[in-house]
Amino acid sequence: MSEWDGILESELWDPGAAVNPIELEHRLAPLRFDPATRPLDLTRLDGPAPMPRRSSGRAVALLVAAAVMLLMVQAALRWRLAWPEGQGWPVIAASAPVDGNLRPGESLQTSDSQWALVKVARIGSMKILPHTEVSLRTTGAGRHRLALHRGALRLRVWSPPFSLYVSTPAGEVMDLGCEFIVNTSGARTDVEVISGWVQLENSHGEVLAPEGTRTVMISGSPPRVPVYADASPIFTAAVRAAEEGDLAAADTIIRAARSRDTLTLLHLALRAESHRQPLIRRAHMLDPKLADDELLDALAGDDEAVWKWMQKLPLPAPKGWLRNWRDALPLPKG
Amino acid sequence: MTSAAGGDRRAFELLYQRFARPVHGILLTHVGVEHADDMVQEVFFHAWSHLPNLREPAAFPGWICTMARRRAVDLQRRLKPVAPLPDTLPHAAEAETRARALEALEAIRALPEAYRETLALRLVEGMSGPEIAEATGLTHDSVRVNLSRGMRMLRERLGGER
Repeated sequence: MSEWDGILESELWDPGAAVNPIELEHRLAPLRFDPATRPLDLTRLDGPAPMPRRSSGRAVALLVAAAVMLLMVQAALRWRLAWPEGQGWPVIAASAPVDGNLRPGESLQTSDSQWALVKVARIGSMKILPHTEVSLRTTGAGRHRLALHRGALRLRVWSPPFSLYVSTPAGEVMDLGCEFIVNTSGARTDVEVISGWVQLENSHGEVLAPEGTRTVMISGSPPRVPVYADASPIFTAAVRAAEEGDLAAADTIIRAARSRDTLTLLHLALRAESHRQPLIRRAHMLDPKLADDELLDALAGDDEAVWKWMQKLPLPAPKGWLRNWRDALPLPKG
Repeated sequence: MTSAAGGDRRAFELLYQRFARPVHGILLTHVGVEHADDMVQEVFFHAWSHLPNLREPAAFPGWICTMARRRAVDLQRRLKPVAPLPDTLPHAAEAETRARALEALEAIRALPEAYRETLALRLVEGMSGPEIAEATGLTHDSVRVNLSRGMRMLRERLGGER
């Protein structure tokens, strides 16, 4: 007798009881299912066979492939950012013959009708526009520094922020992974941001300018506030006038501002204390999403509240250079 | 199981022959005999179409028993109570045997859920303890306990007859 039978025989079966398991089994036997007498109707399995289950091996293979791809991308990125210290930047195209390399400590000049296209290490390219003089100060992995003495450069750089510095007489222009045009004439530097962000900085202040804006830096004063290139000329002129001290321009600024000009209004509000309240109120009319308590803080003089407001504007992330993948493409020749 | 999941009908038939009894036993604890007899194949047809979803072949017994349980509960909700057998039937002796079987089955179905399936598989389908453990996913100890306690309760319910 098996152990299992013992349970029924010894523990459950009381010979004197009216019912015992063996008897119950016999009693219930007519209800027992016999697969042999009721075979499975295989015709009911007609139709497409069940989809074969993907083996776990395939999932593992996919994971391995993804990991390999990630490693390759990381390796490609590391290669892109690496650059031997002091190695010159090659000139890849020019409207007239120029020296083959722009080496550290050397400068390259273009005539009134000449341009040159230079590779910026492995992180981008630079078009030296006519009537320009530019020097390469230093170059190495993660840090490259140019000096723009006069004229204009169009730079397209795809790398982590602050990989490239352009020194001008008015101050420094730093890329945050972007494309921009920098134009220097005497003590004035104009910057137009085509994609990404650029930071302008000198001993009097700094400003972050997003794509689509233009800004100005003049020796002896802080960088000007960014103004969108598509803002009305009246608005732009009024902003620049206000920055020069023309407080009457504030009314024009407020009247001519569009929703997109909220960024400019907030920058101005931080700088023009006397016109802070009307500028912020106008900004709130154009961008009403701000909570009431945050607005009150901004009106009350809390600069932090204004900075937080700017961060909520629909602008690309300042350090989102990875998303600006088009900046990885070289500037067109010609 | 792996072959069946790949579309091998013959392999699936072997699974049917091996696991039809536990499926039937579970169905019996929820629905009438006639329904249980018919539903066994329905459960397996349903399992056939979902077999690729079963990741672990070793889980088939518990998986198909769960499927049976769910379909039985669904049917139970939709059915009216089964009418009692008429007093007179042709082949009276056969009818008497069947009536006693159904009466015992009703007593099993009246037990708490934890015991009724185990007892049905043991007493109706004639499965061994290890077979019950494999089919239900219970440990051997749990099956022993369910059989022991269930049988005690069943004996109390049926103990008055002779």
